[in-house]
Amino acid sequence: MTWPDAELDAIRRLRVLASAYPSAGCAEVTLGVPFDDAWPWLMDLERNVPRWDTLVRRLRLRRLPEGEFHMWVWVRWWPIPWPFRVRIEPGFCIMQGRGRAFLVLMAAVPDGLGRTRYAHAEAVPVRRLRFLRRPFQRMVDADLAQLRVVIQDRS
Amino acid sequence: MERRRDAVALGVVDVATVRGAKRGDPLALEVLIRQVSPYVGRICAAIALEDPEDAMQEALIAIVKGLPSLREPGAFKAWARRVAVREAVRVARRRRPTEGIDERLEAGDVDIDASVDVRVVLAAMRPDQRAVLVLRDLDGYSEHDVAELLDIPAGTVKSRLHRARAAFAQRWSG
Repeated sequence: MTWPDAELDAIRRLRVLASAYPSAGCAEVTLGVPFDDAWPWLMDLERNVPRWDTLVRRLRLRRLPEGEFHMWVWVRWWPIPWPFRVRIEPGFCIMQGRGRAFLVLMAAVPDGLGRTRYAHAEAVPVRRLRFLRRPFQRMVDADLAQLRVVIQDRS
Repeated sequence: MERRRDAVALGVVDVATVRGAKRGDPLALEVLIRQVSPYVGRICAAIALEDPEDAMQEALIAIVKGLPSLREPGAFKAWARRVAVREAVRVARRRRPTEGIDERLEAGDVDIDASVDVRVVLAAMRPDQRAVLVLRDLDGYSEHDVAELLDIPAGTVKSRLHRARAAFAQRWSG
């Protein structure tokens, strides 16, 4: 006999992880392109993140062993790049800034009819700093509004 | 009913990962969530039949939020199980009772073949009865341990287990 089973999809995994950090701003959006198109585009981080993330000016990635990446991020208001450790797998990406200064989570799942459900979270990954949630939320909301337009108009 | 004695594996959860996650390290926490998910998923699916994914998500959120209060990282497994069962029962109770099994059978939306449809039998039980059955027969715990985990008297465990197994036996023979 077979017992029932349940699985955690990438978006639920993002929600669970983000819930650990009170400062986390989270948002979800439906993108009008299929997952097989949307996820590779989203994961072309160097080329595409600066097009929709309002904070990021430039990114550089270097591949590390075991599927990890080292990433340098130039933000719009600071000339020195910030280093991140990045893990990518199909539908899920986690980026942790050095010194636990910043956390970015990206997740996507197919949403039927050629669409993709995308979730995004940003936080300072410590178990306090709740007062930062509102600015993070505003930033994430603005980014996803921009993403929706950019990914639709990219051709 | 054939008793399952092969307890569900929690997977490899090393103490260093639990310690890192407890400190709030996102990469360690992400690994811990992946490691514990299959186990939590099976508990939640067997107890919160109608909303297994919601129950699983809420159980894992309760686990990551409660992790700083866990004193001994080596006790993670037992603690995570307790949290998962509690959340799964809470989610299952929140949902209004669904229509009876007989109606669902008549409507033809239940697939009963040669083997017993576990879900059908579980659906006929209350969430707290399912929790007893999951811990005892899926997870391999003693009645004493189940009583401790659920914070109920051993006699209650015994009677709930008896009813649950009788339900399985009836469906199996029917």
